[in-house]
Formats: sequence, structure tokens, C-alpha cells
Amino acid sequence: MSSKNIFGRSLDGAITSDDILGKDVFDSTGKFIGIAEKVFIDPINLSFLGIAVDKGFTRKGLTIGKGYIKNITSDAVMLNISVAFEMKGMEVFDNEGKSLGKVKSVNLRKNKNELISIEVSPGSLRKNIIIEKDDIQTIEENIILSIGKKELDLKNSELSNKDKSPKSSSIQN
Amino acid sequence: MKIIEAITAKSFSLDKSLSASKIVGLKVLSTSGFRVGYVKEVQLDLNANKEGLSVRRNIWKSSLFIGREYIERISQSGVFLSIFPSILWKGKNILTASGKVIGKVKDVQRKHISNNIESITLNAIFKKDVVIPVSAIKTWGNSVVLKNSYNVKQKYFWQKS
Repeated sequence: MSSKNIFGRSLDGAITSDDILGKDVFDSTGKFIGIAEKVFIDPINLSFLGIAVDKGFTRKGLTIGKGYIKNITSDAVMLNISVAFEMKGMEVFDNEGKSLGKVKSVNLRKNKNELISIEVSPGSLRKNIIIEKDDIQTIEENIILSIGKKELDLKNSELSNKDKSPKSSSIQN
Repeated sequence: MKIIEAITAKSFSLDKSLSASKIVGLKVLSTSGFRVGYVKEVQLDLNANKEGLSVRRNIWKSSLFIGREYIERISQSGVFLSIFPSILWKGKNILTASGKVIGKVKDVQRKHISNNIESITLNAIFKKDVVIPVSAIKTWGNSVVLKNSYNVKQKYFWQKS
């Protein structure tokens, strides 16, 4: 049954929240990210903000802004990015091919998909390693660095020394 | 330690070379960082001047031979390939441009025995296999994503072709 329309313009081609909810979400490489479970709308200007993705029973959900959505098709929601959080659990190799451990956490810039650094867990009883974005050569199935383990250890020790040094106090007018 | 006398027509440095025994057992990584397997043997064909590595995968999968032309570099901890071995696409999902999962890669057809793919075979439950040319593929990533312009004609196995 067709509904009455007081929209002021044709709704041909428009999609509804029902067309988004329950759809598979894929990143730019075709990786399955999860299932769209919520649609966010700005309560003031009523514009579409993004979606929430259900990643399964055991994993935390994910919200994705509309700027990262390439298109919404009849079958899925396609993203125009590779989701940085998906790096979690990936194996990290230095430029010699030595395995350094697995990604424990991902540090992003202001809730955007822009990577700052990753924290790698080399296993129990060993200190986690911080790796900056500039030292990463490849992020695909796993992560390959552009530097070796020795250089990385040096950078991490410098970083921990900085943290230990007394912070300078600021004087304000 | 005794000095090794070198007898070769070309310049050669022992320090810069790796002995085959040290290469055996190294992990082999693809361009994407995928752990392909471990070096099983170093294969030499001195008459044809062709070398390569045979790579051991897991007990369920057959070994691979990777030609020298696909080896980017060998370090003390691993072997880096300059490719993602095309046969490893087997089992990956195939998506249409709209994101519909239409099946999996059953087989990969290559140019002779090189890593260049000519086509892939799509396999789906209750449906006949379809050969998809490489020109119809938009993205090779975690899945194989087809171009928008390519329309896959899948038929159920009871339908006549």
C-alpha cells in the first residue's frame, strides 16, 4: 500500500534505515568487518552521521562516520578505508623478518582512522613495544616494519627515558 | 679459523653471502606479510642457471616452489617475496561490487607456472563453477572483489547450460 507523501520532492532512490540495518559491512580490501546494527542521526540538523557495526558476540562494536562509507548497496555497506582497529591481533615482523609479537592496541588520532602508533605484545614477561606509524612499511595480512629490532629497542628506550625525566613546569601570566 | 680460499671468475664476498644451510628453516613472508611457510630446501639448477626455494607449508598443504625472480631479499630471520603467491587466493571469498558474497575461489589459472593469474574459478554451493577472467576483478585484498561492470551468470547444477 503506497503511503501519502508530504515530503515536497520525489523519494526515488532514497534508502531507509531498514536498508542499512542488518547489512554486512566490508572495508576497501573486501574484508568483512561486521553487521550494521545502528544508524546515527544528528538530532539538531537531522543529517546522517554514521553507523554502528556489530562485530560479533565476543568483540567490541565499532562506530564508523559517514565520511568512511563509500556506498550503501542492496547487499552491503562498503567502506572506503581499511579499518585501523583491524590491526589488532596481527603479527608484526621487523625488516629482517623477525617476529616481534602481536598488536595489542592501536593508537589513533582523535577517533579518526589515522594511525599514530601501535603497541605490540612480545609475549608474557616481556615489555610491550611501541611502534610509530613512520616505522611501518606494510599493513596488509600482517605488519612489516621498515626498521630492525635493534633500532626499535633504541627508540623505545629513548621513549621510556623521556617519560622518566622530570617534566618542566610552566609559568603563566 | 682457517681462511677459505676463493676460486671464482666473478667477484665474491663470503661475508655478504648466506650458506644454504642457514636459509633452510627460515620463514617465508609474502608482500602482504602473510607467512607462506618455511624454507624446506634450496633448489639449484646450475645448467639452466635457475634457482629457487621449496617452501614447506603445513601438514595439510603441499609444498611450494618459489623461483628466484620472486624472491625480493633474504635476511638472517626470513625470506621476503616480491609477490603474494597466486595459488594462495584459493579459498578466499568472492564479492560482487555491491558486496554480495557469491562464493569462494576454487582454483586459480596461471600463465604457465608463473605467478600471473589469467582467471579464477568461482565455486558456490549448489551452483556450477564459473571461470572469471582477471580483467573482471577490481580488488585483490582480503577477498576478491569484482568490477561493477561484470555480471556473473551463476547457474544451479540442475539447470542446463
